[in-house]
Amino acid sequence: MSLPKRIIRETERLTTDPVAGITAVPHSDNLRYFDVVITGPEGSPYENGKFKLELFLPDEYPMVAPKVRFLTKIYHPNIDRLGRICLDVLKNNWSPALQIRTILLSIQALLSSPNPDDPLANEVAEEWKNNHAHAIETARDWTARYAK
Amino acid sequence: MSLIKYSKISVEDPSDWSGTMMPSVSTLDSMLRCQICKGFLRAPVVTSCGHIFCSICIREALTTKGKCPLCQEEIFESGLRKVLLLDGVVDWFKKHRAELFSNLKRAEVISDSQEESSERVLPSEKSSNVIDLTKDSSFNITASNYGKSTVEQQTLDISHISKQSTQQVSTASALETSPDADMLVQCPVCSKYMTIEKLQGSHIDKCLKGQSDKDYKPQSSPRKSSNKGTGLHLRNDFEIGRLLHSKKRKHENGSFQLQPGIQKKKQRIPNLDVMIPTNRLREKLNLYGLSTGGPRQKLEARMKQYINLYNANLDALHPVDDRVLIGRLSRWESLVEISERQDDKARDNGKSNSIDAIQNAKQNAHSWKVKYRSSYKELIERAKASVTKLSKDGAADNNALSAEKGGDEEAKREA
Repeated sequence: MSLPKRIIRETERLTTDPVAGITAVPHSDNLRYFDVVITGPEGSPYENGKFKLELFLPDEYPMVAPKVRFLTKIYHPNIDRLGRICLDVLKNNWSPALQIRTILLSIQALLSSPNPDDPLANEVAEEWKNNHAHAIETARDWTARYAK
Repeated sequence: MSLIKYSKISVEDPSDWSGTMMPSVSTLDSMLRCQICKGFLRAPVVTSCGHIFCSICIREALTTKGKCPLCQEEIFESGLRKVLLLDGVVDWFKKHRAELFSNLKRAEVISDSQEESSERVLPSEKSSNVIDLTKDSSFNITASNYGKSTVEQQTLDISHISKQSTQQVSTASALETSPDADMLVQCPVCSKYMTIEKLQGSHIDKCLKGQSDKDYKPQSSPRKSSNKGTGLHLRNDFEIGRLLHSKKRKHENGSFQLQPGIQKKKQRIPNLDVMIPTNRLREKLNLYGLSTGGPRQKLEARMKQYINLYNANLDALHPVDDRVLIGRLSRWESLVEISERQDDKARDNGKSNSIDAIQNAKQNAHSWKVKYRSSYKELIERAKASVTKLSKDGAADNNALSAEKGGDEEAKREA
């Protein structure tokens, strides 16, 4: 089947030619399950933070999107308390031409530019819009506290 | 666990070319791949928005979502068209990839060696080769690399080759004047002109072994006549070659884009009507020689996948027999089943789903049985006394559940 071969190819590429600020390592007992670490982008309140995520490739992958979740607590309008991420390419805009690499890059970009108008964590989004400076401060504080 | 074995398969990737003399081949390599499966295109089809995928991949993708994976435009399966020539191109590349790779790799080693650089390879040579290859003379360079490395292997005189290579470059301009020039390359050993396929296929080996290629008449080297009208001479050579080859050539040119005749007669299977009654669905499966076992959901999935495989096969330049498709279908089905079973296990055991974990669990159950034999007896007694009380105890934890099971067995034995 083409499916597992594509996954191997992607895994190899991720290890031989890694994306800056992102590591993704598959579990040895389940190659569909990845431990991901994304470094907070420069200039964002998440700078210098190391955020752990889990990524799972369902059987239907690449016909359906990978399942991605933050494991590290993060203060972000598009990421809720359970670490679930509100990102179009993980939902309706998924396409089989996308891959693990592009998805993780999108998540990294989401950290750089949060979108409080399409929130998942409503309280965070309110704070983000009404008391921006304080929200940024909180995000920075959480990063220092949890994303080490 | 079944997935782990895949990690041992070496997977070719466009990035392989980065270490060769011609890193730009990686662009070609990735262009010939499907953006869905990342493998080389199999029976490529073009969408109404102009994007190309493997027939099977895009059909499977459209079963999930009716949009182009690359541009998100709405597309329909009925709008897919096969691209037979591209299928041939991919086929050629796949066949010659290893050969091309090892030659470009080896060529680099040679050009790094001192004797080569003193003779003809200047520091700029490498980059100029890369530029040249994007031009019309691409085949010449490829051929010269090929010849060079092969001859090197046979430890022939290097200066001899370099003379020929320079001569070849000088004749390249003459070649360009000929309408068929891009099809011809010069053999670095016997200086004859022929198609690249011919040269790389069998000629070069024969030539190096000293056997003359009987397909080509021995002819005067173009070196002698290079002063007067090389272009004309070349064309004559080519025409002689073409005359000698006329039968074979015709066949080759034609088959680039011709599918076997049977293929035209075959009709595509229309998409499955999801409202079809189960008995009609079974009939349909039976018609194509497929298994009719399993629940409705499985039958539907099986039929859909077979339709995708069947229709995709019609897009291939070299389609396979229906029996091969049925084989692929059953492999697909067993893969789905494995992952389903793994899911079940994962649900039972948490994350670990290896055989060891299951065996450990079995052993644990056994040792539990031995250790708590007396407790089981007590449990049985209590169970007999009060069924409701047992269910309460059993719900306490999982181990108690397995204890009940062991207890039940013993109870049977006692009875």
